[in-house]
Parts: sequence; structure tokens; C-alpha cells
Amino acid sequence: MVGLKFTPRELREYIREYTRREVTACMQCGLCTAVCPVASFMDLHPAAVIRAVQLSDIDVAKVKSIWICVSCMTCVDKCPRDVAPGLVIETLRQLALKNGIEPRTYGEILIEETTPSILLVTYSRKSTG
Amino acid sequence: MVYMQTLLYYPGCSIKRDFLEVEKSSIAVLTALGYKLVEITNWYCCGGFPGTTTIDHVKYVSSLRTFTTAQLQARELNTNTIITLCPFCYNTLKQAEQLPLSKPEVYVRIADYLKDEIEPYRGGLKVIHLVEVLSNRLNDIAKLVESDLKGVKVAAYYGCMLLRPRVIAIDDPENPQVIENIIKALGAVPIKYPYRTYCCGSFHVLAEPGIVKRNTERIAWSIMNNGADIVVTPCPLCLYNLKKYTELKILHLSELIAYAMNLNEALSSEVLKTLNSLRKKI
Repeated sequence: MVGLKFTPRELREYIREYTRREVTACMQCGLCTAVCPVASFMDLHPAAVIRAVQLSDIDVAKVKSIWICVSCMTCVDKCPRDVAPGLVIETLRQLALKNGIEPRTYGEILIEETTPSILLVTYSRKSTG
Repeated sequence: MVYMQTLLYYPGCSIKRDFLEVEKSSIAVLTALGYKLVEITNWYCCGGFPGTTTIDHVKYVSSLRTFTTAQLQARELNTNTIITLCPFCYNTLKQAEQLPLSKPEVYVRIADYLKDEIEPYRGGLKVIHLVEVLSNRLNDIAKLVESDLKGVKVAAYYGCMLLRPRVIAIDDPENPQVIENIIKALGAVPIKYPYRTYCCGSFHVLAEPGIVKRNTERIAWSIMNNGADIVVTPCPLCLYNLKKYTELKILHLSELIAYAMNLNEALSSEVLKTLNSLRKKI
């Protein structure tokens, strides 16, 4: 089990290991936030998540953005410094899940008769670390 | 038709359960173009999302397991190509296809999990999406067009999974043209609008429907303001979300092609009604 308490260096190492990207390269240009289709629903927009990771001023148990990201990969594709915020957010989401933090249970999701199975499959995959 | 090629067909969960009409029209179009589709006998669910970080390597297991059974059939049928209709399956399987080169150490671990399969995966299978197949046969599509769609303005909505990440993109992720080229081959007019590759909100329809509502409305607004008569998308999930929250006339890409080729028996009455109303307008 990965603990949630990190020194700034440890968190950056952890993210470097699992994304193979370098968060310190971020220059806060904000392009990721500009292209994000769900940024306005986040508490910390993608560029702010990267800044918080740089400063290790982030609590994965509290930040909502990691559950809002849909992995559309737009920011990953556009990032001029190859920081790939989408992959960093994905790592934080998995870190939270591995520590037993979940936004909701399966009982709370809205399933209708016409709901395609692909939705349930992708949702459950995003809910497992 | 002289041209004949056998393709291994990977349907995936939703095409087989919720979008049978998409399968029907796609297969009709592919058959008309001279392809023979053979369904992989033991396919496993792709899982919907590929692993994105190096911790979640286990997410590649089901795709590679499908490859181990598909390669037996591939050898028998003398083909190396797996076709998918669903962009989610395409994205996931394509990243699994590239795994031995993109993340070799992850591949070695998964190959270890799959030791007990009939035989180890030997590599060499190629995953393609319906749109790629069609975009390579534009002249033949144009030859098969029977119904006149001249002057019909069609908006192509791509969604995410065929274009991103860049390594698996079927076309330029910033300015894709493949579906527009197919629309032109059908004799219709593709329209340009800014939200062609914008995410519809995907699985959030289950837990945060507000996100999907907002995003699909943005897409619909952009399409309507640019004067489209009809929208086509290659993605069944985008189709579901856009139908659920907007009033757009939206079809799966294969349905428009089947209609243009006069393969009406492959279309549902609802789709035919939408398309016929379009013709009256011209």
C-alpha cells in the first residue's frame, strides 16, 4: 500500500516513476486548462494540479479534480513541455484508489435500461486502481 | 467484386449488446466493399480504457489475451488484421498492439501472466478501425453510391478515442479529415465547426450527468450554428450521449454510408425516416 504522506521530492519521484513525465518542467502556460473539456467542473484545474504537485501541496483525499478528469487526453496531446497533466491526474487518482478513497459506490450511479455496457465498463475501470 | 480481404472482427461489449444496428450497417458496408468479416471466436472485453500509467499494466491483460486466441484464427485465415467498430475497443487494443515496443518491461510482465494460454502471443497482429478501412477505399465508396446526397450538409463528430493519444491516432488529432473525406466521397458536403474533437463527457453520464449535458449542448450549439443538416459519428458512446441530451439528428457514420449505397435493408426504420426527411428537404 502506498501511503498518502509524501515529501515534495517523494511525490514528484512517485509521479515520475509512474508517468515517465517530469512535473517540474511545467511553466504554467495554462494550455491544459484552456483545452480541458471539464475544467470548469474541477476544484483544481489541470494547471493548478500540476503546480500543487510541484509544491507537494495536494491532498488526494480531498481534491475533486481527479474524479472529474475523463482521460480524453487533450491536455496530454497539447502540453508544450510534455508534462501531460492527464497522466499526472490519472496517477493521483490511482493513488487515491489504492488508499481506499472512492468518490461514490456503484449503488449511487444512475443506470437506466438503455445504458450501454461500455459506460459501465469504462466507469468501473476508472473506479479501480 | 474481385477485391476480397478477410478481416478478423472484434465486436466488443456494446456493439453486441446495445448497438446491433451499428454492427448491421457497418457489416453491410464492408461486405459491399468486398471484405469478409470473421468474428474472433473467443474475444474478451477490452476493458474500455487502456492503462495510462505504468502502475496499471494489468489493464492490458484482457486485450493481449484476445490476441493470443486471435492469432490462431489469423493463421488459419491467412490474415493479420483485426477490425473494430467501437473507438474505445480500437484505442485499447491499439495500445496493447503497440505495448511490446512502447513499454517492453510492462509487456514482459503481462506475457508472464499469459503463460498458461494455448500459446504465447507471437506479435504481428494489427488493429484497425472501421474509419481507417473506409478512408482507404474512397474511390470504391464513390463508385457504389446510389442515393443522391448532393448538397446535404453533414457534420462529422470525431470524439476522443480515435484521435488521442497521438500515438494511436487514425489522423491528425488537431485537424482530422478522414470522415470529411468519406462524406465527400458520398457526394455530400462536410461542414467545418470548432467542436469536432471535443469530449462529450463519456462515462460521466452515470455519475455527473451535468458535465455530459453541458458538453453535448456545446457540441450541438456549434453544429447547429454552422448549418449542418445531419451529424455522423464513428463512436456509439458519443451517439448515445448526444442523442440523450440534444435534439441533433445524429447517426452512426456507417448508417449514412449504407443509405448512400442503397443498403436500406441494413438500416432501422427510425434511421431511414431521418434520412428520408433529409432528402425531401433538398
